[in-house]
Amino acid sequence: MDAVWVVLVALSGILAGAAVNNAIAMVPALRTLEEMTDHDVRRAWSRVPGACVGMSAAGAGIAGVVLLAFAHQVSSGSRALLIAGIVLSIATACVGVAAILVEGAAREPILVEGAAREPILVEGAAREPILVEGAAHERRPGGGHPSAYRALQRRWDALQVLAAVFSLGMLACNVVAAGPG
Amino acid sequence: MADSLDVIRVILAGLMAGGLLIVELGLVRTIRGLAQATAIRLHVAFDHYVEWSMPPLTIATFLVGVAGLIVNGSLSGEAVALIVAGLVATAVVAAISQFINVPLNARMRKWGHGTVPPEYPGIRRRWDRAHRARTIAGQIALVCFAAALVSTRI
Repeated sequence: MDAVWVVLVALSGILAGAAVNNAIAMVPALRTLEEMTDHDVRRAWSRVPGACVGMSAAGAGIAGVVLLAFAHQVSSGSRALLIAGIVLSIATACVGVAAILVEGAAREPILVEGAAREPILVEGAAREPILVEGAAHERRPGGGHPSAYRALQRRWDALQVLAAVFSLGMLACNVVAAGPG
Repeated sequence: MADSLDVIRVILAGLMAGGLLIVELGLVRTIRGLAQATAIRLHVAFDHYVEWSMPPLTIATFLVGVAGLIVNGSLSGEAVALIVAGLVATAVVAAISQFINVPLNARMRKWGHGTVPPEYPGIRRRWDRAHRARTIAGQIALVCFAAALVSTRI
């Protein structure tokens, strides 16, 4: 029982620390990079939301084990906190999945080739022309238009912040549930 | 009061351990897949923000751990040993950061935009090794503090 508590608390702490650091350091760092670099980095960084989903699911599973297998040793207050922790774990996992989906949507580049010196109408979310200068070999993430990409970027950033908030709540619930008393 | 310190210590240690782990799992591996000039830019940008949060977090974890030892006179021998082990591991995190990673970050910040000096690969390897060592120390600190918290339930 005690070993399970230690694992649950440690896992919650690692998840919360990872999500918070991601929100307060990686999100603003990405904003300082240019669009294409930013996109490439986000793609490489996508293992982080994936790891958070895994840790959230594991946290919810362990808390569930504590609830079911050790129900007779857990006080009613701890039980309520564990249930809240499980709900927040699932919410964190859902946010992580959403971030992965948003990153996937931004992953599709449009390759514009040719010696185009005239506006090209890119069909899609944004029906505005993009002027490609010179012998263009240009690719743009996020549906071909910067504004579409910016919208995905803002959504991704907001999801990272949301994951940090949920995971902090989960950590607080699990630590207080495991704590003295 | 003593109970609150036990809980706060674990929360702070968790934030520190997770913060270190995400850099190991995310930043270090992401940087390996990028062009060197882009990798340096990302590293410098990331550290600019992380250096606002991680050092105070590490210091706060250490101080709350010490305060817990002083305030809570009824701790078992096992809990005291675990807290002391956690404090030592936290001190290792701080020492590696202060003497290896932070000076290397300062060197990278001085490089011009788009510049990749010949010593970069060596510096990168040193930074990564030092970071791995402090990440392991951070996880040990968290497990010690979490085990101490749980041992107080008995």
